[in-house]
Amino acid sequence: MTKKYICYIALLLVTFSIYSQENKASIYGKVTTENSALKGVNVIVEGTSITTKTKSNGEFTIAIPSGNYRITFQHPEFITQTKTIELKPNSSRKIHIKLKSTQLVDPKIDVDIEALNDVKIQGKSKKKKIETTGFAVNVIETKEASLRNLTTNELLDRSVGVRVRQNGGIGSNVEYNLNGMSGSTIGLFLDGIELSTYGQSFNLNNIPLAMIERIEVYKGVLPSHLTGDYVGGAINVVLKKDVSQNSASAAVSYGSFNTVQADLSVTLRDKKSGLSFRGSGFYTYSDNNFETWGRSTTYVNHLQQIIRPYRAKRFNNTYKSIGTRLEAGFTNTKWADQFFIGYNGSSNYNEIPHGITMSVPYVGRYNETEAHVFFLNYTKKDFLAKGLALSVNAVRSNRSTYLQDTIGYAYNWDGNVREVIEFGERVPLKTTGGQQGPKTITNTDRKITNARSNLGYLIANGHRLSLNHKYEATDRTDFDLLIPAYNDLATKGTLVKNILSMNYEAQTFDKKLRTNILGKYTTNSSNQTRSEIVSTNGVNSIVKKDTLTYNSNFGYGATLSYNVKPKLFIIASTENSYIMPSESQLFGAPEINILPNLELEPEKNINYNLGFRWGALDIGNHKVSLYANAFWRNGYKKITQQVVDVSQIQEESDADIQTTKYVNLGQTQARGFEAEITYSYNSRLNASLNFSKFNNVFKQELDESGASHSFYGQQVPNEPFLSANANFQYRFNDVFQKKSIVNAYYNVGYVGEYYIVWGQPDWSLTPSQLTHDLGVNYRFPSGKLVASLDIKNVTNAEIYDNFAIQKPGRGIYFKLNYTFTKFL
Amino acid sequence: MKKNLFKIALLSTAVMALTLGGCSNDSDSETTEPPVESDMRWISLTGSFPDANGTAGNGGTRAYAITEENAANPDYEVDLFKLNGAEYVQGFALKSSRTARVQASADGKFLYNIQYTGTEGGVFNKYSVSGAGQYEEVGFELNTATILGTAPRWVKAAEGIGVGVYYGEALPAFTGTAPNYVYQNPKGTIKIANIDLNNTAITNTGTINVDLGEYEAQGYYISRADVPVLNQAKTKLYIGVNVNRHNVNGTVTTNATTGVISGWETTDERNIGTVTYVVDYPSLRNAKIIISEKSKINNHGYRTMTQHLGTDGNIYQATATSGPDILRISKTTDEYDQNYHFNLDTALGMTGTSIKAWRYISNGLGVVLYTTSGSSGGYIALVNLNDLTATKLATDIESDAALSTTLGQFQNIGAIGNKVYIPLTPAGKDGNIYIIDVTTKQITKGAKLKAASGSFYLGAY
Repeated sequence: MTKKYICYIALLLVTFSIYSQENKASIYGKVTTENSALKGVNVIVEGTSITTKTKSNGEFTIAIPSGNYRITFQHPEFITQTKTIELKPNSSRKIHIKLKSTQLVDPKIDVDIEALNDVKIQGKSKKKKIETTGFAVNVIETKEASLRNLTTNELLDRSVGVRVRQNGGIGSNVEYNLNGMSGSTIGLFLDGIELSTYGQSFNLNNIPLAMIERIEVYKGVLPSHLTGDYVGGAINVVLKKDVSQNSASAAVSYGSFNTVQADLSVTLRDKKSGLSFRGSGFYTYSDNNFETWGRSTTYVNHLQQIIRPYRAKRFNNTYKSIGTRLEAGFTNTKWADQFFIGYNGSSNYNEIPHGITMSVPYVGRYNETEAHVFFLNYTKKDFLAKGLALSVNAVRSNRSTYLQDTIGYAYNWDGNVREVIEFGERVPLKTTGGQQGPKTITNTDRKITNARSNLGYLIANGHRLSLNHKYEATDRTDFDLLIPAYNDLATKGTLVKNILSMNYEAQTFDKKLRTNILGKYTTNSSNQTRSEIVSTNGVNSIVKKDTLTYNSNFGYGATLSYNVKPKLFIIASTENSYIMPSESQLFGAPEINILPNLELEPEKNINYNLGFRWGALDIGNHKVSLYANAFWRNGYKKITQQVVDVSQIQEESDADIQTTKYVNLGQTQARGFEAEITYSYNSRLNASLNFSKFNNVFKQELDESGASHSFYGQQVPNEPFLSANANFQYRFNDVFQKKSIVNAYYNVGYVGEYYIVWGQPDWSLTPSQLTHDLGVNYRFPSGKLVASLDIKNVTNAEIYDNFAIQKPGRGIYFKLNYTFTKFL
Repeated sequence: MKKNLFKIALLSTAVMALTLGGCSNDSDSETTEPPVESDMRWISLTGSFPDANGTAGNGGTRAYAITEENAANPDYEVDLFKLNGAEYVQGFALKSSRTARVQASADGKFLYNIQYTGTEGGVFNKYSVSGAGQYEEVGFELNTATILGTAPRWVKAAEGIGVGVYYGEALPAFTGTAPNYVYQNPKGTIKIANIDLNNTAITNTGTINVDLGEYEAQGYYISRADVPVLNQAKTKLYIGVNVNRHNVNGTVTTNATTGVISGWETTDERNIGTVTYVVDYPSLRNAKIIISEKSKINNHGYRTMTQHLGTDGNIYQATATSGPDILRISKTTDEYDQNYHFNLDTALGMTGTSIKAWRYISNGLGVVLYTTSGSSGGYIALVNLNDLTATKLATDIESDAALSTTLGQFQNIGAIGNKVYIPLTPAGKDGNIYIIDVTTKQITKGAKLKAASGSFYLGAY
């Protein structure tokens, strides 16, 4: 949790005074709070390995060659500040930094300005600050992980209370489970805007960690800058914003299953005008041709006899993804702290290797997605009046999803067409359509406008009021490219969602108690034009009718954080809200086998969280932090995915298990807790252990005949409910070369067994899983080049996330990262 | 679970000692069974339970085998849905995430099932029956999904022979573009798969290109095929079909919300009789339709068999699950016997009956489960197909409205000799096995059946 700080302290101990020979210059100064000197602040020269700590009088000194630097000042209880400085040869520079307490800062307003020696200072890491606001939130820092062969999903899966259920290798469908809440109850955000706005091709499978500043995982109650129809919590990916230094970095990784991942990013800033540019790009490719050997894959002979287990190698699972994000604008000008306009474009090619089970493969079923997104960011503190802060994030997206499935033969996992005896002769086996149901070529276009604005006002010291407005409009058009006439009469229209939320945050009792009251008002409206055929005197004509639907709901919540004694915070939060079914829940998503269900009702949820954070406690060379949180969630008319009931389908040809839809499931209750302990020794060993357990319980009291329900109070099947992770990191210095650093990593993950159906028959058991991952990276003495080697699933264990779909076995990946600084 | 282990250990020791070799692969038997003899006639009872969301009967199917003696004993109790914590403790869970479509060998020694939807929908399994919850998977699993879909319509068409059928590949019901669409008959195909139940293999498949001839222009079309049965000589296969009619003067229908074209307007006006497809067996060639002049009601089943081979060699076909008729297909002409018509309404002297499940027992005698339009509940009648008469056999739960749900999903009426076994439980409520002696026309109440929420008994085998 405090890995970042520990890491910096580590750097400090090892690499003090490296650049001491020629071209000498130095920086010295003092770090204070509002009124007193501050000891133990990490002073870090970015892009180098030079760090130091302030002494008890708050003073520090750094010897350094001349040049342009960004100096970061970090302390767990204060807002991190960064200062850009130009150092002439043989000169010395004095800096005085005042750090602000992490207490009471609106999480959305990311910029704190302190005019000091005409140097701009920005707030940066806010892990500690966010984690003690009272929300049940974890902040995952990506700096360390971005050097390794890790996807964002893998990093998330290791953090406390998060379970990422994936259908296979890179690019396969993912569902997030936050302590038993999953599916549409979980919001996925990119800088506070729904990630889906950026298209299916821009997701946590392929967004490189190098582009990400941090990931906030909220369980249950959400802050006003992440409002939406999400009662289970949210994952908010915060991209890097900082452009204060000209720099570039590149990374390329290659490994098992012919997997290539590459990313590149550049930031440029003209100091005089404040004109800045940030550009990033990524490329991902994988054959995902891993082997499976468990029960899930089968071989079917010409008599249709099933031979299992059958060792299969995936041959139909190519994933390809490319994307870029370009933004230009101004930072730290009079009229804006940040003003950026940008373009985010991405495209995907994804083969769908099988249906809901792996038993037989699909060949030639694939989707292609594309998204072109334009966005605008604006933040300004002291906007119009002192203490008033404005931030706007607006996105316009044009995304499309194309699905094709036209191959009419059935295949085996050996890659050959299956055979059958037809009219007495052994012939290739034809399907009754494509690979999954009828032959299909469809395209769905969505035009989405998504904007969030936040206005914060500091009423008085310790009291802040924020207003947040979110607007989302979706315009969806479906095309049937095989039989276009099917959509001749398709309804056209726009769905609009407005959410107005406010929160009032107060610090009282000597700033020990922080309370936050949240209110949220959501409206949904749709303006649809329907086409109907009207026949008059035998002549048909199309009549268009406009219909308007509208609904709204109100939700509220509160959080509390009490600083019992130094380093110990009690945190609590509660929320009462409704969530509306999403577009894909209502209308279906053919590319991931979801049928429409237009009868879905909103679900109501009441959540409570109570927990504490304690630490880091220093005991000699040992540092320990503790976190624990208990939660109690009540869901009414819970929306959940269900295998389609055949009696609900009129035409038999639709009665295919490979499809699901969303339904309202009576009443549920989830109770459980999560905990995390982090430990470091002598700044060389870092370890963290987390654990999450919940009971997701069926709470429908009476059955159809009015008797008490036999399943009342039982664990709802088909959800993993126990998970644990342990992460270890150890640093070795001066291996092979002086001033080099080697980090070794070990991660072990555990998911407890669970059953797919009621009554726990043996065949429905998804066994418990234990995975081990190893990694090592080598930082060359220059600090610019880092090489990483990762071995995932070291023991080649048989692992499953979903419906008996086996995940990849052992994989070995190699990655090189290079950072350029001080150019141009 | 752990608490039970000791109990189970004790029990299995006891059972082992008694039988010297009867072994269990399932840890469930709570009731002591008499010593297992290899030629014991077991009666398997099946029942369905709700899915994860609580939808009644949709979660899967469990089975439990009892002796004839226990079945007849009103003090004996079967509790197929008994839970210990979250675990079912009595009986065996057939592989199926949803209601299975179970068939059995005539001697009750094997159960056959094709998983009906669920994660392994379309997979065929065969189980040997050795009493109580002792079912053992034998033979090959078969993948029928590619041919028959994942919700297969299949039955045992003759002893040792299973046949599955599947209607699909319908054409769009229209051509042209808005607003002047032109009607097109959807035609489609019926796939057939012959399943060798003894060797667990699909030994032949075939396809019928649906052709209703002159009727197509009038809007008649097939939307489902079901209940295949073999004639006495095993040379002809009769397949029941569901015929509907489009209004050829109408236009397309659309999804109310999305506006996507969903089909063509239909009409209830029907002049075509009950239709059956006939193909040669086992070649599955020479498909043709035969049409009854005696009924205009469809003959496809929902989850149960609707046509049976009589001891006289003719096929008797009910217009289940919505009509009162039983029709006859002649063993000599392989056509409908247009002179034969059994009508349950007439035989019982009432109106509005509809046969939900039935079974031909012997010498023209059969047992029918039916509902009536006049009152809720589910009823039993003994029918004589030779003299076209019927006798209602009263049960004490027959007027329970929930029984009509049960009958709608009912799968199999058990028969041993002249004795008929019908498990009857209104959905979610307790019930009994009812035993009918077709020669004496007596109905008696047998073993008690404990139900649970959204769970009920579906069949005896």
